[in-house]
Amino acid sequence: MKNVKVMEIVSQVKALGYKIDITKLENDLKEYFEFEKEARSIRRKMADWKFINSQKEPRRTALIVYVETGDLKMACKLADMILWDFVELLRKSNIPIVL
Amino acid sequence: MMSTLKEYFEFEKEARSIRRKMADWKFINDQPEPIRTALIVFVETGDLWVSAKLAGMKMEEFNELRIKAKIPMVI
Amino acid sequence: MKIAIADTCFLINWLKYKRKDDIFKLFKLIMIPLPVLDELGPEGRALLGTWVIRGYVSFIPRLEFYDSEAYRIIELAKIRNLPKIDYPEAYCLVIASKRGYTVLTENKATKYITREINEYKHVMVLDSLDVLLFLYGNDKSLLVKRIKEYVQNTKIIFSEKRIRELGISLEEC
Repeated sequence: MKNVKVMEIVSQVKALGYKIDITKLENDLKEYFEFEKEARSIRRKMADWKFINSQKEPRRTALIVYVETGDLKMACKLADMILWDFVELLRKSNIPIVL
Repeated sequence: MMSTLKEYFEFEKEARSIRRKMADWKFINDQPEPIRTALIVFVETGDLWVSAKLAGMKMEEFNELRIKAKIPMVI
Repeated sequence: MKIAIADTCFLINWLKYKRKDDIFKLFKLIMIPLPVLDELGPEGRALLGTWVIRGYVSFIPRLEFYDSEAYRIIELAKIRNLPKIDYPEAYCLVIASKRGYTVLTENKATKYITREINEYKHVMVLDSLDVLLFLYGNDKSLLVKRIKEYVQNTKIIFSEKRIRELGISLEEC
């Protein structure tokens, strides 16, 4: 199943006109999924849920989206804020950016 | 080229000194950020385009502001 | 010394760091695309002021010439199932690739692209931990101190795996 997924990605990437290193792709996919698992767990644990739940919509939902996905830009767009302000909100919510 | 550079640096030094002396610092310091910083950047560098971008304003708009702030454009 | 091009997510953190000027021990100039500047708020722009005055920063306008390549990268990130890349980040990567700049970004997607895609393998991508390592990595105890400060100032957390790879422990940070 895993190889089918990788080959699917490879063929779509090639269709875009890029040459891709398949071994590095496989390693990076594995690394990223492990990282995201750790990062999500940290975000969930450290978040100030009382503060988050006290926020008005759409900020409340945007913060939850960020905790669950780590997708900063998407959460920021959902919150309808500029990125700088959204990161300040993350800091207030005690939600870390995990790198 | 060296003499052009030398001439330019001397001109910039004089221009900066004039901008610093003539600026209305009370007006500048009363401005909200990032406008305050952008005006200071203009005093220090004389760069209208960069200062306008920092302020998030069009050049024409920022130019009006630098006039209000009494910061001369030294040519 | 090299030239870097910075993305918003890097600047948002680095500008909060009390030793942010140290980055100019590594780079003589940081290029900031205007689409990136647009994502910084008043506070972020104000923090850039000193750098602008000292000539450490230069703004790059949006050049439509590079748009199609930037959008190709955005599509690539979607297919590749990576963290998303937005236009400003993709634009940074395109410019860096053409001009030989180092990309400063916290977005992992950019690093993965430069690892996997031949066209971008020559581009160096650094996040804030990489920059800290370049700056202070010669002295382990100093590195730990600086990482701690950085985490305190920015409220970022570095992953356990990366910290372990540096030969230091999470407790130290």
